[in-house]
Amino acid sequence: MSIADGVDPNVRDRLTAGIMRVFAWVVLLFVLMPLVVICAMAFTSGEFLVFPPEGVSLRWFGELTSWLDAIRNSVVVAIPAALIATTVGGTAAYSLDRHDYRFGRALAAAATVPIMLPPVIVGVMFMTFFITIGISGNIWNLILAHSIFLTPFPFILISQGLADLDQSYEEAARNLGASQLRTVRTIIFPLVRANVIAGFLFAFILSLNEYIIAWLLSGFSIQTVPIQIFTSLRYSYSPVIAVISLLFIIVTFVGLTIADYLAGGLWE
Amino acid sequence: MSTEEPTLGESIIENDIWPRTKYLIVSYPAAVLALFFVLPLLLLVVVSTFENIEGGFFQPAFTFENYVRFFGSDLFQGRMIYTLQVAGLTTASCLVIGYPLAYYIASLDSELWRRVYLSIIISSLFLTFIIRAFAWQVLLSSDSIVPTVASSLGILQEPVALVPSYMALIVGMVYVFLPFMVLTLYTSIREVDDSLQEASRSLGAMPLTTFRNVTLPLTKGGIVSGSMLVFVLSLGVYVLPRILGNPPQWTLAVLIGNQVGVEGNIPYGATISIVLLLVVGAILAVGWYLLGGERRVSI
Repeated sequence: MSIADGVDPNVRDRLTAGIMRVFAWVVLLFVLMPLVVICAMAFTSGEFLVFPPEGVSLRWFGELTSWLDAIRNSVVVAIPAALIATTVGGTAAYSLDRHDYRFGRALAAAATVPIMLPPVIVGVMFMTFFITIGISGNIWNLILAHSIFLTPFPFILISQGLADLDQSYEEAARNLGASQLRTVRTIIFPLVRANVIAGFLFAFILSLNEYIIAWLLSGFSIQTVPIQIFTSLRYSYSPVIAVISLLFIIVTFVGLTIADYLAGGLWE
Repeated sequence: MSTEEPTLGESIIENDIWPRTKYLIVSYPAAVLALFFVLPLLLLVVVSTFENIEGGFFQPAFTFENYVRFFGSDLFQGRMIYTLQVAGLTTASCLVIGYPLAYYIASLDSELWRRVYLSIIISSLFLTFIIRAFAWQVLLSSDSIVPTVASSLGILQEPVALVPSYMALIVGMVYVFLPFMVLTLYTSIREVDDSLQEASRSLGAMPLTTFRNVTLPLTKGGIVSGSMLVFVLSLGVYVLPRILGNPPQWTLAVLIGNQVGVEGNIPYGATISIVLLLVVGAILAVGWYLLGGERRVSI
């Protein structure tokens, strides 16, 4: 500090600001570089995954045909998983927002905790459960495990939406004689629709991207995209992995941008 | 809701024509979560005391043999300590890198730029660990950009592969968990009342003094929650050590996955899971206590 005392405060402030800016750019480069590299690698004309790529071509996009089964499996799991997660999370959020229950806190905890557990433990937990009840290697096991694991996203998003809701709309509808079901359908749902869709999208995207639970519950017979990428990484090092990654990056990014927009900017 | 005077609307909701609606709606999520979350979780605890049968099955035994095996084994003890070390180093690195970054973004005047920076930070947040680890595998492999640049700068003698290694694992971990730290700190820094910093400055305090005596103490909550979040998430990593590390870099989560998926010893996998869960729970409890203490002080 004694050195800084002798320096003109303006110079010192500008110097600090400059250092901070350079630091921020370096970190942002660190954050951006891996994805940029993967996207660039998808267009390589070479045989191997090295950066910078050897040339530009679309040849590896043709290899996607061997990934169609995995893509189909991923979607077949993610859609029902996201639907179940949204209905469970949504009804839990709605009932806790509108009514008081003796077990309310326990329900809220059960709807929030799954995402905080290490995924590998969630996987082992469901594997144990399904072996005990004698059903394994079924795609519904995986769907159910993903729905429980991802319930917290719609639950939290829809709870926020309901908390922001002006209760007088609902009261007006009820006073005018609408039944509870009709009130939910015509008043509450349209007002929190954005949160419901955002919750669904988050769950859908996260299910697509989830690996370890899927691997443990697939019974080693159902390949989802993350499972096939992991397997491919162990045996080959083909640029087609970059192509499928590029596809995944685009889907994830678009899905989350829409979800974030609908939820009204989660981080600002 | 119940603590306030019920309004007309509320009294109608409570005395519904169909009074059981209240329990009818909640029965669906409550039943699903009880049956498919609480029950399997309890079952996991029970099965951790079971005996393994060859071929991925188990039978009731009610012994603590699995726990004795875990705490008696240098290998598993060592992996536990190693996992905590990796999580600790990841958390510390994320904090050291994340705090100045979050502080910088929060201090920007333009809302547009704040949004742009935050979007970049969260751009990869939900992308599968597999692809993000794979990206670092490509970046750090021998013919690739990082070793080439490092060797031309003289940091490396020649461009050798930097992956798989402990360093690659930590780089991957920091990359993956930095967004959580930055977002938590950013929210906390934005909440600090600017006038407090101005007051400190106008009273003649140097920027560093203002930072140390005003900003830092006021963002302690963010530092604690961000660190806790990153630490707890780091404890559970499975994919990164598998892709960016060798067996010496494998964490407890990898061991759990191997016990269950490769060895077919589910009771022992359940035991290690319970131990890891207890560690996670203990850390969350400590964090809770620290945050609670923080709140008491600030009142």
